Amino acid sequence: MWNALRQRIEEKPGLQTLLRTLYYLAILLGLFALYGRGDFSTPAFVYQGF
Amino acid sequence: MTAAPPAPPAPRHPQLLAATIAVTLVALLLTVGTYWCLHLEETHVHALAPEFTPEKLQGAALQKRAFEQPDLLVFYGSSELVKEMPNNATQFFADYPTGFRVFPVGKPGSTSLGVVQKVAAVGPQVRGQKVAFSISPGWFLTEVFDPSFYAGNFSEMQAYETVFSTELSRDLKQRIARRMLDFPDTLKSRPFLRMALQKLSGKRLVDRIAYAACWPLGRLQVRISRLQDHGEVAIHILESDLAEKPKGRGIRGLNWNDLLKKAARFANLTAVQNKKNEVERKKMVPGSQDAAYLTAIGSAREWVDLELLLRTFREMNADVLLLSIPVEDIRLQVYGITKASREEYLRRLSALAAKYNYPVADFREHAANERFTVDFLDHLSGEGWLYYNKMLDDFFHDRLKH
Repeated sequence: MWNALRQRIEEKPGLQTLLRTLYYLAILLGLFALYGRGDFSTPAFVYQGF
Repeated sequence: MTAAPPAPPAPRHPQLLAATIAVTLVALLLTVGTYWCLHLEETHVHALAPEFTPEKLQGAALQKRAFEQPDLLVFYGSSELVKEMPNNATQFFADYPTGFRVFPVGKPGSTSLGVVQKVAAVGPQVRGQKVAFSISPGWFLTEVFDPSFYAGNFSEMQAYETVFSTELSRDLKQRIARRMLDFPDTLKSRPFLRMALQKLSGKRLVDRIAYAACWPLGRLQVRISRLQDHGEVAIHILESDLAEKPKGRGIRGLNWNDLLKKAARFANLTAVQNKKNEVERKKMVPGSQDAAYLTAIGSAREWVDLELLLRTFREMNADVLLLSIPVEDIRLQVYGITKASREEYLRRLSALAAKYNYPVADFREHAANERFTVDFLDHLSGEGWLYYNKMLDDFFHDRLKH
């Protein structure tokens, strides 16, 4: 079944490009999700003034 | 029987084509996302004015939007801004009584060097804008301020913006870098930032070359941080329950003479009594600590940082008001110092402000009023805030006599 699917995809270069694009997009978005957020926190410190 | 039509020729570099499309789509997504974030910031900046969240204090996006608003006055300071107190500028101007409200930026332990980085991170939006800065005399009564306070206010994003700023002169950035290197704990886990600071502060040709080599990567980091900043603010806005439109406004033309005549009714008598008790408990001999305090005032690093901040404001062409919490007579008693020490602080502050031609309100005429602050840690009372607020109002409406 996989071979048949692969053959069908290889026969259609447009579909190949679309699937590759989606694959790269998924990688890029995954990287954004993992490392995209910034760290705007500060170390906790004890302020004696209050 | 006819032959099947030939399959279209495959692209020569199919991976390259797919990668280009994916990267273009992501770039498009980021551009649209950034505009959407800017729109969110623009519509919520007034509602976020009274907050003291990391998104507001540690980033720069919201501060930039605040500077762009004609009815917001950005007000830098430290713990006095955060402390709950009647007439606190944030609450007092909440309904825009004279046409503006205050956008406070600061939290406990913020000192001038931290504000330098915040202003540098805001960048061109500061140009030509009004900005107020509240000074705590306590910063100058000690040679070196507790470094954990600086660390507790440190922002990596703002530090990168300062080091790789295109708005500040090289000489100023160099001096700022030298001071930032005095707090190695903040740079421990940031080797690239530390290296950039070291190279920037160096005087040798090789340092200049190394700093120039850091520049492209530094600017890339700045760009990434800005995107992250917008993202964090957007997430914060979406997670908060904020009204889209600014809350009720009511220009009611304050009668300052009346307000200040009745200022004493905001006196916190318990706080005054606590201060008197502290004087009794310490039983300091007047003048016994003058020598130590005069030495501390003379060598306080905070003067260096305050001058860096004033230089930053000047290079940004900002319209600045400096406000200093007064050192009350009762505070002299608890420290065991005489008026000479206070005079030295006021003399240096006035000289520095005059050097940069910025007005400074030091409230020295209120030194005998032991109700102006609620403690000996530079926290204004409800009465003290009224005087501060009048000064902010006069400044905003160009009524200050310089």
